[in-house]
Amino acid sequence: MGNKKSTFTEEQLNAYQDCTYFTRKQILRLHSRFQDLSPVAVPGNDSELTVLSQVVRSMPELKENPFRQRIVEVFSTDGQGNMSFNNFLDMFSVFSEAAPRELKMQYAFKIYDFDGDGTIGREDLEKTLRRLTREELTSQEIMLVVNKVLEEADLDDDGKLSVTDFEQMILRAPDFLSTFHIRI
Amino acid sequence: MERPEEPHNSGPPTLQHRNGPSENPADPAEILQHLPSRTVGQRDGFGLMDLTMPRWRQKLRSLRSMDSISNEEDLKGSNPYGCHDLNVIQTMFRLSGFKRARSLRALPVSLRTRRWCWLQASGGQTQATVAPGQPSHQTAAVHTHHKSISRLLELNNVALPVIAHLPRTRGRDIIPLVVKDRPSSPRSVGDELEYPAVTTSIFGKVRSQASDCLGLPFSLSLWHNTLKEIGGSFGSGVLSYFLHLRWLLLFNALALCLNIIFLLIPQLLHPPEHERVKPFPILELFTGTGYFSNTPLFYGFYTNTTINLVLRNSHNEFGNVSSNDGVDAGYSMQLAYLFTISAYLFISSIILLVCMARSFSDNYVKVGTAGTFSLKVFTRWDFNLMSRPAVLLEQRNIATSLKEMLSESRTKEHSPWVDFVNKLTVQPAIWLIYLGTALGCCSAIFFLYEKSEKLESQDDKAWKSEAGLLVLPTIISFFNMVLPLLYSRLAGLEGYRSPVNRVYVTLVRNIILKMFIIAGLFYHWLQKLSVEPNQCWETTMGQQLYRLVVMDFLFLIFDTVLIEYIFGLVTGGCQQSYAQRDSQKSEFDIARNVLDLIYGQTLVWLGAFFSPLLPAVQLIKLLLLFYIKKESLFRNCQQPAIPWMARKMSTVFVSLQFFPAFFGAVAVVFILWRQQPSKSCGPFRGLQVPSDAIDVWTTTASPKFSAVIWILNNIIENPIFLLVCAGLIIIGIYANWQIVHGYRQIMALLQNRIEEERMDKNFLLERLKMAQGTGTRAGNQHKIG
Repeated sequence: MGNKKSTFTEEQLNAYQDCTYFTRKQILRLHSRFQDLSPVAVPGNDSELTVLSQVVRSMPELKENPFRQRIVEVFSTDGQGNMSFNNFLDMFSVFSEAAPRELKMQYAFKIYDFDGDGTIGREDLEKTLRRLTREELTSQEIMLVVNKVLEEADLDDDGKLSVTDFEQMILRAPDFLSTFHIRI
Repeated sequence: MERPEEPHNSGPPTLQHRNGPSENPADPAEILQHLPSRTVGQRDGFGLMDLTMPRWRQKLRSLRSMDSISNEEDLKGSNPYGCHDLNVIQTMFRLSGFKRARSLRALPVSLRTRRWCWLQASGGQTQATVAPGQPSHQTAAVHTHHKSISRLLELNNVALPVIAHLPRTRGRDIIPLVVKDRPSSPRSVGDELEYPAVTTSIFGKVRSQASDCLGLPFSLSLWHNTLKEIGGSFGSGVLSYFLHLRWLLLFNALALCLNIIFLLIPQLLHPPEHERVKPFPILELFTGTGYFSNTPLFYGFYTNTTINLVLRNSHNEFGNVSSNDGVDAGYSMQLAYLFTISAYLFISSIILLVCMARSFSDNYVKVGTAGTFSLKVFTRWDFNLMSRPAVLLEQRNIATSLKEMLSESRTKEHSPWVDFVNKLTVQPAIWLIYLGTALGCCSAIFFLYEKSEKLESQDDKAWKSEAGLLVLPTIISFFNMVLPLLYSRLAGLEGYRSPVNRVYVTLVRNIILKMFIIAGLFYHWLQKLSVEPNQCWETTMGQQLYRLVVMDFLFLIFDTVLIEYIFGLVTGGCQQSYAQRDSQKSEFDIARNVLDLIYGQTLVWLGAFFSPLLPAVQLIKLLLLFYIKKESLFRNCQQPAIPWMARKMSTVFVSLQFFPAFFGAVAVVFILWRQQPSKSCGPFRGLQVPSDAIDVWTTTASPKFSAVIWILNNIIENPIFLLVCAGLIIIGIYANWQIVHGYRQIMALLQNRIEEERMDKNFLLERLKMAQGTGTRAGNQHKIG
């Protein structure tokens, strides 16, 4: 499908404005960024233009982020990281400054939950740590840190972090709002 | 025993009853699932946060979780969570536009879903009036939609406690229609004023409109890309300094606008006569005397005339004509000056107060004590970082600090004895040193000031006496540059546990010192200068403050350039324990730089009364400072080693900005109410105190304004009014404080309950295991026997 959405209708812009934390100008600017990534029509995806996962991951805002793979997976509809404009807008809306703590917390949980089982288990924690520190820690140290984290945060002692545990922890972090933020 | 995968937290309890215990009824895992603590919480759909949520949101959440209970019958199949979102949408119908938008934005579902909900809730102008269909029909379409819902849920990571998914078929129908249907002549985006007045409320619209056109984009999009680069390479801590700078720009721009519109332009239309002074040497740019004394820069330029703006004969003629023919629009410069300055200070204080309150509540009230490891793992990573070296460095930093924390937790850290000794001896000693140096510095300043004044009066050469005027600001700026370095070294000696505490203490000390100096000087000038006759003391004060501002700027440039040429100069609280840090590069000392910003802005607030265009000077200074600091940053500095808590620190910055501003405003109000203005210049000449201008106006104003005058005399000047206002404010503060206190107590209680639940659960598990053990043994014995 070759039609590029060069303009939006009033209603669409209103909808976007009400459903995200962006203003009109920002939405249009994001749309032009999206077009710059040359989206293609992927069959079977409701004829929406999507950008392939590796293209999104090569954006300057995400290029060096150790969690970029997970981020694009979480926000895409197919789970592989191929993003339509809705997904794109959604992603940056959650990462924007105006998004509230609760919403960011939900998505942060999804990002850190690598296997997608609804809890952050030991393997998820290990993977997170590896991405955070990039081979600077030995396996033993990683084990120790994982144990410490579970000790501190796991409130119901099942060896995994559920959403509630995560929520509790994030509530105590004043900095979360400023670190979980991507400027676009 | 291996615990099976527990159903997600928001699994409805009735489902479990329906399924029934599948295997062994005494299986501890099964019992675990049925524990009331597991299910009660989810039935309410509440976590601890809900107590701080507004009621409409609590209702929404409870409705959502109730949905998940009531609608399971409709959805058979592998999906135990499916629900209709009709209830959600109905709730959203009941909310007003702005709240609806707010609740919609916070739904943790995909944007598509939200847009569909929006269309439904708004009653959809165009195509959303597609009939909802029969949701409970078990058709093939609904089957596929079940599958896609469960797939959607898996992808959306069933951890959602809140489920508001739309049946996918509906989405399929509607969204493509909306997407495909474009008007034949697409409206250009510039038509922003025509809204279908359906969904968002006026308030929300005005807000977004304003933020698109007016003030906010000025603050949000100015230097947007530069800030992105800075945040990407250096992290949020350093970024907070530049954001603070940009925020201060707003204040100065506001002051400038007000002053230009209300003071400068009317006065320029009717300029006072004065002798043209000598031509303009460069030195006067720094001293502000001579040529500048009679420019609009200073107080002395403004007159106390009433400018009559009378239009005659289609020319714009402004003359002092009495109004025989109709419109008497007299513009009193006295009142204008009084009200403009007061309004500006008042608005600034209110803005600061609101920002301070909001950031304080965000960052201090709602958070508690930290669990260090988990916080470091989950909240430390700064998603702003974009450049490769910054990311590598940050990873190294995190690794090193994790290692340190591990080693600390293994061995005993500071023994309590060392702390105790510290508190008793070293810290008081350092405080004494601090006070000593502060007092010494102040007395040195006063001594040198006196001396320089004597020299000034003795000197014949004009330029020497003018240069002598610069001595005082130079000394002050020099002390401002040197003393913070000294204090940060001292703080390093004190052995504070966390580097952030050290930074706080240093900040506070520096601020106190600077405020003492300014307050002392101000008081001294006021006492000394205002009693001299025949001199325009306000202009002189304005000039003093102008000189301070200019010198401050020069020293800032000098300081920044100094960093550039001295390698390995480590400033502030940098720890050298991290290997592979570039020892050639220093760190950007955020605290000191913000302190300089605060100091400069305080000077401007103090000087606004004496020099209405001083905000323009500050504006230029801030603009230049931004680029200078940016260059220096990219050339010389590397990321800070300590995790700089950007949000908390921005709260501290705003609060630190507020208090000097408040005292500056109090000082100006004092001058307005008590100090006699000079007799020979300025808009308040001839009055006892500047606020008498209001009395003069009330007595001479035309009867049109009698209502206003009556209000002024009987209400505003009535002390009872002030008393009532103050009382209301105090009551409001107390009530809010009590509410926060109550929330904190509730949170503590609930935390305790969580702990107790955990202990209960473990206890029950143990008991069950024991019971099961004896049960099987008995069963075995029975079988054998």
